[in-house]
Amino acid sequence: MSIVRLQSVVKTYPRGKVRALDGLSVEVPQGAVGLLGPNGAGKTTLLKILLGLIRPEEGAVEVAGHQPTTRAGQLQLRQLVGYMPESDCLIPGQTGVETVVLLARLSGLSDKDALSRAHEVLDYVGLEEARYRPVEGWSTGMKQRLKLAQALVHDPQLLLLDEPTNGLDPAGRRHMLDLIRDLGHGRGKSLLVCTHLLADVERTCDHVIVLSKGRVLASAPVGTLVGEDRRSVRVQATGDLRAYRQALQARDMQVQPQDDGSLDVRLVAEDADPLFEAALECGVTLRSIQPQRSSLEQSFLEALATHEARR
Amino acid sequence: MSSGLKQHTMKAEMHGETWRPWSGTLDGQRLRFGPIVRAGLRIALRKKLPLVLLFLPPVVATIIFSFVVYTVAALAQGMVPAGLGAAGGAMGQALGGGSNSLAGDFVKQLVRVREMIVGFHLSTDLFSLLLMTWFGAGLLAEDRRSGAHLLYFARPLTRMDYLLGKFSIVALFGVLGSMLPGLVIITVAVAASPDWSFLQQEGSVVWKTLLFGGAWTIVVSSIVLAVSSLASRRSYALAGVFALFMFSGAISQLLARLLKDRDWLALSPVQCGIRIAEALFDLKMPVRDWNTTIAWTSWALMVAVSWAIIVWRTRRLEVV
Repeated sequence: MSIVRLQSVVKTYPRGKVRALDGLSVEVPQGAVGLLGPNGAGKTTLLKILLGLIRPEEGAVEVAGHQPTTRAGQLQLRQLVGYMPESDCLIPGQTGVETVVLLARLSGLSDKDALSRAHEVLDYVGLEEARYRPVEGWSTGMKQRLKLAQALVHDPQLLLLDEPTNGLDPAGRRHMLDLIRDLGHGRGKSLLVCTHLLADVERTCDHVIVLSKGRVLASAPVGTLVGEDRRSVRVQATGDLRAYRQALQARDMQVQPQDDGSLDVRLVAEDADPLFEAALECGVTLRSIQPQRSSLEQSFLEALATHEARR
Repeated sequence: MSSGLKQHTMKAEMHGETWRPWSGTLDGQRLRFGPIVRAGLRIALRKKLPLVLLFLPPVVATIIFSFVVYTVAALAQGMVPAGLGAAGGAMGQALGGGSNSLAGDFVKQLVRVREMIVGFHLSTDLFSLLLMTWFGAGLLAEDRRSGAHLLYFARPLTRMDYLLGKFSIVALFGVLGSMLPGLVIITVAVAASPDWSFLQQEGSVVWKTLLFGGAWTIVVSSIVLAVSSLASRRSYALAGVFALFMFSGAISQLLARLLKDRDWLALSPVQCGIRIAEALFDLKMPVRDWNTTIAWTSWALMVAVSWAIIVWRTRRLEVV
């Protein structure tokens, strides 16, 4: 089940003749989804389209079953979407609770509901008595949580989080990631987390979409990208490790010695028999063979490299 | 004892995370600028000192002028206003009326009342200019600086809603500083004149006050918002608005003298206002005998240019 569907979406900016989205087709599944990509990949343009701020020149957009084709449709779209901006933003002169109430009212909640919902979401993000103070004096972490609270207040079907851990200290970052994880997994919200921090995506998201130059390079569950890599193993052995290393390299395997004496080996195929053959040949005793996990960063870089190689 | 102990050991109930799904419906049809106006006014009303300093002069002037208008109207009827005592006679003489005034002088006195109202109007308009500038200069500039537009435009809010909200805040201060005092004085004049005679003789002053006050408010509010949309912070916008009004006044006067053509006064919104007031209220001191149509056209152009700037600048605000 997809929360967002984009079909052959094209968006160009006439000033720089930049093709920001170049026939982008992607289905964003429900749940927590990470949006990755280098600068200029088209992430911001995609967010603008999902917020109904700009219209694509070509292609179809569907958010939560809603297709914004008119101006009114675009405005209605913003009721379905909550947006947490990347940059610092606040409404000057207002307290935290006033800010959230105002934005709830603008989203279409009544006065009474806006107030009660504002307190609920401020409780949820952990802003206690600080909510009654003007936001200008708040710390970065508190402002980030306020931005999350205002995005949540009208209970949107889709949350767009743009660099949610930007500028946070380790404790604040952990708290924000816990909130995002809870929203995606505990509360069943659909999130699109746009970030450069791959570890954040790995920790909070179920699915990842990689964009580059306005196209989708990869769209897959995080589990498949970060899962076990059966061709990369860590081998612990005793005996003549130098000879063992040479024997492995003679069998076209890549070997990387580690500080603890173990060897990281890249197999030619998903077959561990050559490890045993080489060990027998060198008189080495194998203590353990463990498959290694590939990181999201590795997958991200591989996807980019593959894309560049094709061009 | 035991109940006391029980009370002592009782702990306050702590609320945990209270996130719950929203089950209501979102209103999609309402005019959305209302919450912006309310929020803007709430912020403005928090600053007590500027409120007192900027509202005190018009309030005091309104009270004094109300009393003067009441006195003139009462003396025109041959009455000494209550509480004035012997001073009433002297004031009556000074105002050209007095307890011995004849009924024939009454119409003349009503004209005097009207002229006083117009004079009062022009003086309070300067305070309304200060009010609108002070409370309006930061509305767009500070939103830009603090990134508030990112929050506003992620909502189902059109630029027109946003601008209408901001404009209403400035205009409300304009109405409070300009139109309201005039209407209070008119009410006093109407109440003080016998048998609604002021309304019958000088009734047009009511709609003229509304027209002039409304037009003045629209012109100044538009200029203030345009400068605010161009400035990067409130202090720059404040300086910009004051500079614009002062320089346009000085330059228009200079050009009018150098080129011996008083139509050049149309470059100044304040001079236009004075000319329009003179023509609208039919004042008997037309020292500024320049074309009223040019003054109205100038005001219209100022509003048009201001809104072109505002719309252009807010188009650039509407980005993520």
